Amino acid sequence: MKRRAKKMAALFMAGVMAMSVAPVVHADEKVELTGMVQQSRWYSGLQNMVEALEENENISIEFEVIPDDQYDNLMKMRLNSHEAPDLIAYQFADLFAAVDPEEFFVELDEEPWMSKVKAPELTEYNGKHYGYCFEASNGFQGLIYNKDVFEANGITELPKTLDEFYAICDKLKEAGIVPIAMPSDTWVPQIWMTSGMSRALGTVEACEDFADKILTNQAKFNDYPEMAAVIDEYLQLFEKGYVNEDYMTVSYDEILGRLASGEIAMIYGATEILTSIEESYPDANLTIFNPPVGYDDKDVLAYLPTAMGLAVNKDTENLDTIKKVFELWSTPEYGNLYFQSRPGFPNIEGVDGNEAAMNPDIPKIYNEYMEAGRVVAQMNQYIDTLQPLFGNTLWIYFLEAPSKGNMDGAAVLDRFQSDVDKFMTEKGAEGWN
Amino acid sequence: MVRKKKSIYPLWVLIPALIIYTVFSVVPIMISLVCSFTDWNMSRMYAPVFNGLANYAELLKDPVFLRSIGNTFLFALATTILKTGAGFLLALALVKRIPGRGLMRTIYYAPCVISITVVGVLFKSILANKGLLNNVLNTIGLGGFAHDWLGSYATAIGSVILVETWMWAGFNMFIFISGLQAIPDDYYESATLDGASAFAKFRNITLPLITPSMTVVVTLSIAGGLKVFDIIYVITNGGPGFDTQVLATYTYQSFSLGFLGESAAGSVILAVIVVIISFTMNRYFTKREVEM
Repeated sequence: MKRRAKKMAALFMAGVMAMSVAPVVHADEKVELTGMVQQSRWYSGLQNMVEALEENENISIEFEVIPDDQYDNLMKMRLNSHEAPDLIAYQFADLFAAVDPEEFFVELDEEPWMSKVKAPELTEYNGKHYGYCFEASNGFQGLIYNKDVFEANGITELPKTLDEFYAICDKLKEAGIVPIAMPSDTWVPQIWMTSGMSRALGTVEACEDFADKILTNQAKFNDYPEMAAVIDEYLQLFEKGYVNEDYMTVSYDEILGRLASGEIAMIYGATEILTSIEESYPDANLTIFNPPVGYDDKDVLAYLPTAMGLAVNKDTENLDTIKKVFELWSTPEYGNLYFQSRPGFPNIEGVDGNEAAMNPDIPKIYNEYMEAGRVVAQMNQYIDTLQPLFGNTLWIYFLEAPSKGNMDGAAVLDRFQSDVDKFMTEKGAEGWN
Repeated sequence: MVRKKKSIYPLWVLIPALIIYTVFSVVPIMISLVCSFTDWNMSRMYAPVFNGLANYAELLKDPVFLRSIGNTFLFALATTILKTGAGFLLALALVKRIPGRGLMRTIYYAPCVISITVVGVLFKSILANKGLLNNVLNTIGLGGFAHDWLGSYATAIGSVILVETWMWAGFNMFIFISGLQAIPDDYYESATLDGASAFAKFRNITLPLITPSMTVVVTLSIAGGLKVFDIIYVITNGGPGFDTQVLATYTYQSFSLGFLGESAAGSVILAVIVVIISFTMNRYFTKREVEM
C-alpha cells in the first residue's frame, strides 16, 4: 500500500514537472527584448503596442520603469558600463545632449520605415539617424485653463495684453479662485521661462545665436537683459498673489486635480500635458492659449521640437528582432494604438493620431502660428548641452526665488551662470579652458 | 611554561568574510578616495586626470555644501538625543510587568520595519498643506496653527527629525530593554534594604549599568544620523530649495550631475566625519561602562 502511494506520488510529481517544462519550451520560441523608460513616459499607448506585439508576434519587451529623477544617471551608467537594455526610451533630440549616440546607439538610416518619418530631424545626429520616435512633436507651450471657471466668472474673451491678463487674474482672485497654480515639481514652473526666453528673443536665428554664445562662453546670461525680464515677470505673479501658497510642497498630480475641479483656473503647461490631463479627467472642460507677456510684442508661440522615442543599444544581440518591431510599429495597425487614448501628432505617415479626439484648440492654435511663421522652439532645446544642470540647479532657483524673495531675475541668472561655468569647465567644453 | 592562547575558531574561517568585506567595502572606499583627487566625470569616464585637492576646495566654497554639513550635524544631534531619550523612556516603561506590555512593545517597534518609501508617502500626505495634520487642526479649532509644514526650513527639518525619531525610538527601546533586563534584581533589592530612593537606584544602579546599551544606541544613532539620506530624500528631497540638503543628498546630487570626482570627495568628507565622531562617542561611552 505504502509502495503504491509512493508510485502515485512519483507519477504526480512527474506530471507536475512535465507541465512546468511546457511553458519553458514555449518560452524558448519567444523573443524577449529589454528596455528602460521613464515613469512619466510609460504611456498607455506604448503599453498597448507592447501588449499587441506579444500577442501577435510572440515578441515581448520587458520595460524597466524608472523614476524620472534617477533616469539620466542610470541610463548613462548602464550605457558606459555596457549593461544597458536593448531599447532606451528618451525624449529626442534631448538624448543626444545626455549621451553620445555615435558611441552607444545603432544607426537606423537604412530601415524601410525611415522614408515615412515626418520629423527625421528629431533623431538626427551628424547626418545619421539614431532612433524611432512615435510623435513628430510634443506640441506647444501655453496656459492650460478651465473653461468652466472662466465662464462662471464672466471671462469670455482671452487676454491680448499683459494688463488684460492681470485683470483676469485679479477677477479670479477676488472670486476666491487661485488664478495660476504651480506645483513643487520643478519641471512645471520652468516652462514659463523656457518658453518665455525664446519668446523674448523672438526668432529662431536670435535663439540660435544666443545659445551659441552662451555655450561657447562668448556671452553671459545677464548680457541679455530680456532673459532676466522673463524671470522678473514670472516673479511678479507671486508678488501679486496670483499663485497658490503651497507651491513649494504641492505635487503636480494634486494641482491637476485642483484644475479639473475648478479650484484653480490655470497652469502653465504644454499641449502634451493638456492631453494627459484630459485623459485623466475626461469630464473637465479644459483648453489652452498662448498668454500675452510683456517681453514679446510679436506674439510668438514656443513649441516643442521634441518627442518621446526609442534608441537601440549598440550592444544588443536582438537587432534583427528590434528592426522587425520598428517595422511593425510603423504600420497603422500598431502605430494607431499609441494615440488611442492620448491623441497627438504621429511621426509616421499613415498613422492616425486620433485628431478627432484631440482638443480642437490645439491644431487650431498650432496651425495659426505655424502658418504665420511666428514660432520658436523652447529655450531648453537651444541650450540642451546644459540639460543636466536644469533639474539640479536652475529649476530649483525658480522656486526658491519667490519663496525666499532673495533673488530677482538677474540674481537667478548670475547664480546659474556660476553653475554653467563650473559644469562646462568640468566638461572641458570649448571656451572654458 | 608559556601557555599557548587558543582561539575558539580557527582563523581561516574568517577568510570568506574578509574577502567579501575587502572586495565590496575596502576596495570601493580606496577607489573612492583616489577618485576624489581626480577630475573624473561622466564626460571623461575613462580618462580622469589627477587634480589634487581641487574637488575639496570646490566643495568647501559651495554655500549649499556648507549648509548641508550644518544640516547633517543638526539632524544627527537632534535625532540622537530624541531617539535615545524616547527609546530609554519607553524601555523604562515597558520593562515593567504591565498588562499589554508585549502588544505595546510591538506597536512601538513597528515603524522601523515599515518601508522608507511608505513612510515618505505617508508623512508627505500628513504634512501637506491640505493634509491630515492641518485638517485635524482646523477641525478642532486650532486652524491658526495650520502651516505648510514642509514648505519652510524650520518646520521641514523639524518634521523630518520627528519622523526619524518616530521610526527608530522603538528599535532603541529594545536595545535598552535587553540592557535593563540584564541588570540583576539583587542590586535593586539590596539598595531597597539600604533605604535607597527610587531616584537613587536609577542614578546609581540603572544608569551606570545601562551604559553598554547607551554606547550601542548612541553610536548607531549618531552614525545613522550623519549619513542620513533616505528619509530626507523621500520627505523633502532636500527642499524647500536646498534648505534641508544633507551631505549624502548633496553627494547624490553631485553624482547625478556627473561630477564623479567631486561626488567622491563629498563621500570621503562624509566618511571621515562619521568615523571621527562615531569613534569618539564610542570611546567616551566605553570608558564609562562598568562591569556587573
